[in-house]
Amino acid sequence: MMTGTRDRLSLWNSLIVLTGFCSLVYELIFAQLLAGLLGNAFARFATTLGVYIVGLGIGSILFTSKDEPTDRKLFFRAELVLSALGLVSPFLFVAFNQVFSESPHRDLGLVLSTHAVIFCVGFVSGWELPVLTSILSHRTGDGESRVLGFDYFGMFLASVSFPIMMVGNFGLLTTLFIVTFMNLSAALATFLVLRERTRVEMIALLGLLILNAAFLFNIRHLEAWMSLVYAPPS
Amino acid sequence: MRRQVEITFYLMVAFLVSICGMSYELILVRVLGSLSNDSVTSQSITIGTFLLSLGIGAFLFGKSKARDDQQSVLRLLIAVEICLSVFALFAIPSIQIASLYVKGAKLVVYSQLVTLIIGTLSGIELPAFIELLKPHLRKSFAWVLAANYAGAFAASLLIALRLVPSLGVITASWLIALLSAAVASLLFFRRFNFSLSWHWIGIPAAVMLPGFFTVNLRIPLEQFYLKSFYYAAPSTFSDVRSTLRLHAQIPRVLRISSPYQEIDIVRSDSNVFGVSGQSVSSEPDAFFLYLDQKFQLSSITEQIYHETMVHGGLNLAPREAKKVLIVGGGDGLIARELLKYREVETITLVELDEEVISLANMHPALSELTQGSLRDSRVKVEIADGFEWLKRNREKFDTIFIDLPHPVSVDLSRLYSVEFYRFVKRALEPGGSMIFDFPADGILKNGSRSEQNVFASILASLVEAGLPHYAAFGTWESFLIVSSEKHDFKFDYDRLDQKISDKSAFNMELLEVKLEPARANSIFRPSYLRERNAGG
Repeated sequence: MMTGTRDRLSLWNSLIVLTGFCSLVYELIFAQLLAGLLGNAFARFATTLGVYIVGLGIGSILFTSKDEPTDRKLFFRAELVLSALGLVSPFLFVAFNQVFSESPHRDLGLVLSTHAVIFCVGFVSGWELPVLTSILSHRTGDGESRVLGFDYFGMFLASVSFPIMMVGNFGLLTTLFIVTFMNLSAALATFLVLRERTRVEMIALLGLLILNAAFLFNIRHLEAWMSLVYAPPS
Repeated sequence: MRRQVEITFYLMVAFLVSICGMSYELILVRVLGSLSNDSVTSQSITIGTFLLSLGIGAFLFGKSKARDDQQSVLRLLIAVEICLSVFALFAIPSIQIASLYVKGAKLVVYSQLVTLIIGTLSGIELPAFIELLKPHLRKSFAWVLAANYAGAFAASLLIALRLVPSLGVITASWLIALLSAAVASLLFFRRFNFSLSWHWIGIPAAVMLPGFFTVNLRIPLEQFYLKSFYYAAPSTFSDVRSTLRLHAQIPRVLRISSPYQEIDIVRSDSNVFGVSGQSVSSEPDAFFLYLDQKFQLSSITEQIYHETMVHGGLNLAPREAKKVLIVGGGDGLIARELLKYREVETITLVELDEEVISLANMHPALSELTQGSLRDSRVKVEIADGFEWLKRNREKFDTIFIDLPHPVSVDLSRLYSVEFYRFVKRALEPGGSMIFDFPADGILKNGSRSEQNVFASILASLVEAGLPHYAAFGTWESFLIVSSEKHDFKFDYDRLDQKISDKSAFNMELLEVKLEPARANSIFRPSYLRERNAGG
């Protein structure tokens, strides 16, 4: 019984590191992608960071803890939604570009719509931390500072590995889909320790895992396709 | 009622403080991005270090004894804000000056030390405010976090859209330092329960005074940095005096900060004051143009460059040039050469930076070179981002000239991507061609592996965009001419003689390009083209 609890504890701790890691990588990827799609890298970097942080803030404030099983289910769902958003985001960006290309309010529309997506990712990410905090505080008494510490550590790891992944020729989209895969793994790990599991949730999880793997295996085709949609040849 | 005021006061100050924190982070990211060759890595590392030091600051606060008592928390916060303010005044200039002496990894280490200090100090703020509000507010953690997030958001908009583009990083950082000092004084007044007795005013004033004076030092500091960068930097401390005397004799470096880049015009007045990286000139009034401290144009060599590009390019081009597009080239020098051809009917020039156009029209030395080309009736200047303009463009041109800085930043890499070249192809008439600066000579013979990779990647991007047929020309200043249709590019030397100077005539030769195949550069899979800083 004791071992079980200790294992679970390190599971949750590593999940905190993972969510911190993924948070920052999402933000950095969006900043790079939007710099390419919209131009002005510094402004994009700052606005994506700002919007992401606002999303984080609102997400974390709106969370109210009930009890542990509900918390764990919330975390599972948050991870699913986060990965789904991550998987769909580059397609959304390109789609927004098509939608707004002829409109007179093009720049504003593009900026608002793309940042709305980033806000949503930030919002769901904002749920992660308080949920994990409350799960951990159900187990140990020590909530906030430990969680913050691990979270920062995860973000620090992200800041160091992001340039390595990018410069190491993975590419923006591969990195994005690796991170969504990490979120899905977190969802899977949580799923396995949930007490109540529904069929719908299992199908959603499996479906997203398969989709993610499919994207990763066909990444070069996806990149080429998006490039052709964004900049069609004459 | 009293409690409400107290809560509002602290939340407002927390909001201001988080504006400062986020602003410092963004400014540090920006400075390092522009000083290093690899902005993606340096930005990433700066964020990571900043976050880490926020954590360290929070940790230190947790361990400190000050947290037990409200008054000592307040005192700690005041001390933190004063330290931040003073430190921030020196932070960015010190990184700039450090960049004169150390490069690469060592510079990154030094600047991360600066980041660490600012981040740690900032990291103390958040838990301190939570502590201050705990007796008054039930969910103080959530409220302070909310103020923190709001401040971060406000800062991201303020810095990215207003302060840095209009004022530049140093002045922006000083304004934020002033804000930190203002926060310190607000907290100071709170500490003494807002009583306004004489000497208490003196202390916050003393804090803000350095900020005010330093604003007056902005220009001398800037000139010291620029002259050290372009001419000579003091090599040791004892050297400083003599270097300053030297600097006093050098004409002022003209720096124009546009929202997009720093434009420097550097003069070379006599043999004694050679400009670093340039060969010593015997011509009076020679000057050099730099964009973001990267060399763009020399008044001595520009003739060969532009004559080769325009006359050589048009000579090789299969299609007669009636309708021409220039992307970049805001200095007006390509236009000057193009106007010598009567068959050219319209020249559309798309330049991002209005300041460059103003310089070309109004700067005494530059406008003399330009000969009023930008005001010619055949020339239509459009101020726009080249990428966006081409994306929206539906017109077709016979020839397109692309005169842009080399892809040393993320923004510039975009202009060397598959997507950009597809837009170029779409803007070309059948049989039309595109000509751009391609330092084949330097790179192929003396370039490093990574430099060769950059240009190999550009070639790959051209091919993937549907522009696979090219030829390189120009022995000293070289260019690439590109077309979608197959064409045997050959110089017609008979047609060439009249319009060019003797110097350029020797440059008109075709070159062979042999590079290892590389991956194309796409927005969706950037190859982060980067180049080593040449000289300077």
